[in-house]
Amino acid sequence: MNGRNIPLFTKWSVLQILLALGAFGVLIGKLVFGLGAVTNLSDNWPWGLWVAFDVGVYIATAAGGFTLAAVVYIFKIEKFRPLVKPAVLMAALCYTIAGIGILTDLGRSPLIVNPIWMWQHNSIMFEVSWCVMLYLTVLYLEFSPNIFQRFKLQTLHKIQHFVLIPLVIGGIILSFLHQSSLGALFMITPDMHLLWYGSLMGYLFLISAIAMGLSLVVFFAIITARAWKLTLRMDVLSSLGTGIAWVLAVYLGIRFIELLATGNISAFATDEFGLLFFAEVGLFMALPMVLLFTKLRKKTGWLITASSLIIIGVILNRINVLVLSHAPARVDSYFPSITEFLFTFGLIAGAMFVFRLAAKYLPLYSDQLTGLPEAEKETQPEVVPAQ
Amino acid sequence: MPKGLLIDTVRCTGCRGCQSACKQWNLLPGWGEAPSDEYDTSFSPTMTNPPQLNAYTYNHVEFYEIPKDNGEISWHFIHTRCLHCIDPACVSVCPVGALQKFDNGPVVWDQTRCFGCRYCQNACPFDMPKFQWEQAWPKIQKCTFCWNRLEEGMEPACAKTCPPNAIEFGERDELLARAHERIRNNPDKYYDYVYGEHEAGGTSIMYINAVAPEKLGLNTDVKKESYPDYTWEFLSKIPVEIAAIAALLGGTWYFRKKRLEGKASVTSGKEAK
Repeated sequence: MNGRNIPLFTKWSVLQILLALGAFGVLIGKLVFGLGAVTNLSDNWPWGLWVAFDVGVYIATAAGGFTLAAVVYIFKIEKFRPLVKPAVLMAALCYTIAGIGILTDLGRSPLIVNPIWMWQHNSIMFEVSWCVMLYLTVLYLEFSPNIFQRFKLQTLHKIQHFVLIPLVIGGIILSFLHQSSLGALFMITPDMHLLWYGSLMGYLFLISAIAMGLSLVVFFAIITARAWKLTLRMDVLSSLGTGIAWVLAVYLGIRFIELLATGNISAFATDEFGLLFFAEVGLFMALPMVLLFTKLRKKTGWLITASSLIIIGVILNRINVLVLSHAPARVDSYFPSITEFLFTFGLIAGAMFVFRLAAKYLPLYSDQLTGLPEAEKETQPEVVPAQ
Repeated sequence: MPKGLLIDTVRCTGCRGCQSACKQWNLLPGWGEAPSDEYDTSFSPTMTNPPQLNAYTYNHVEFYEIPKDNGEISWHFIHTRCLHCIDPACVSVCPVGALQKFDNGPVVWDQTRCFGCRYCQNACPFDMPKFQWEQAWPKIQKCTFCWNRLEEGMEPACAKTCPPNAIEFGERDELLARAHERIRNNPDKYYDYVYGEHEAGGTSIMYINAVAPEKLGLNTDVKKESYPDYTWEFLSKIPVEIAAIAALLGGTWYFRKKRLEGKASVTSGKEAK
């Protein structure tokens, strides 16, 4: 009944469980003792590592889900179907940990539901909170066929199939809104470092999230294929690599045109901000983009290298925009506490363990061989999806 | 009519009566009563006490030592607090409407709505909202412009108590005119700038000083435009964008489906022959 290639307990999964338990402990600690006890935040640095990851990184990593859903369900490019189910689950888990992260980071966590009945449509944060709630629902509905198939709930499966296209379109709209609003959160702080400030920051967040989300799909497709002995679909993944390179090209193009048009590029200096900018844009975005445009993307090692670089690059971008670029307008310094790190990595580890559970017990890889020629299917190592 | 306060730092003697009056009226803890040692009173190197504004100190007299041309030091005192912007950034960013702007001036925080996201702390160009970091059920705290005193026809506690009348309460327009007049009549005593006239689109609390405002810690990098306009540019486009994306996606899906169905029927037709 289940994927026999996928072990439940390995040294990695035990580490994941321990980290997730640690994160749970931090959550309890915050609820009991307040934010001051578990973070190094202060009135000078009201947002730190948690916000950078909750609303920055986790949400961006989820972008693979709506992008692949759009490509396969709306544009009907069937080639990428093998990646859709894992990507949607990844997105659902990323949104879940983002929700848990935001819940914990709020001063008054239980009131997280307030935006449902307290409307303030001038606030981007209001829009963000609605997007999180709605898209989280949409993601689990998009993912639900895995559960319906597993437990043979035919009627529910049929209903889900009937509403799939409206769901997917709704999900794409919500994602566009959400990803771009997160960038636009900081249009109201023009005192931040100008290399990261501009009127297009909302749209830039959306585009970089797509690059990040797809890179994460590629990264985990390779890792899980290796670890769980699944068929590695390099044919699909390397085409996706080209797609990521184009997304990054558009991103870097818009970003530099805006920096030049506004003159903000003059804020570039050989200081720590200049170094961060160079690392983010040059080392972790332009370099992997070039790699993915070449034939090197057909080699597993290079593909995973490039996608890892992009993931690091967009994480760095979110940390820069949400935290570090605000340093010029702040007094005192901020460095996250050990509990802040534990919580952040604990959430990621927990999500990875739940992904493993889903891969083992649900038909997550039932489309893994779709589109592979019959002759090749026989020579490939067997995929063992749950029934 | 919107009320305002004119703070004349030339008149201020640094007695900190406003700080005490504020704590009394707003029932804020003083030395030894605050929930954490961090908030206990202590002197900054220039004798400011407590060293900075915090969630238990809504207003605060800061002491500045500024060298004069002849090498002597002159001492300046400035009363700092929330400036109650006419078009406040904090009110526009609050997702649950916990911060509200009253018609008569005050920007007030509603504890039944706030869920503690601290976007207001990020958005405020003057960094005024403070957060109770050590509390499990924290509040955002800042000057309330004594809105509950205004409602009863009284002036704010700080203005009421100020012995040299350095904090004057009144209609904002009249205070602004008075500020300019005072600068005009005493050009040797005042630096010719009313801080708060245009900052962030104008604030209810305004300052006139003997020296340039940045020398007294007032943030002169604050933009002159109203801050909510920065995000309105983005928000106002959203309905159009939603409609455009929905139409584009729906259309693409429909035409791709027709096209693939057409292809399929052509192929099956060929096979039939």
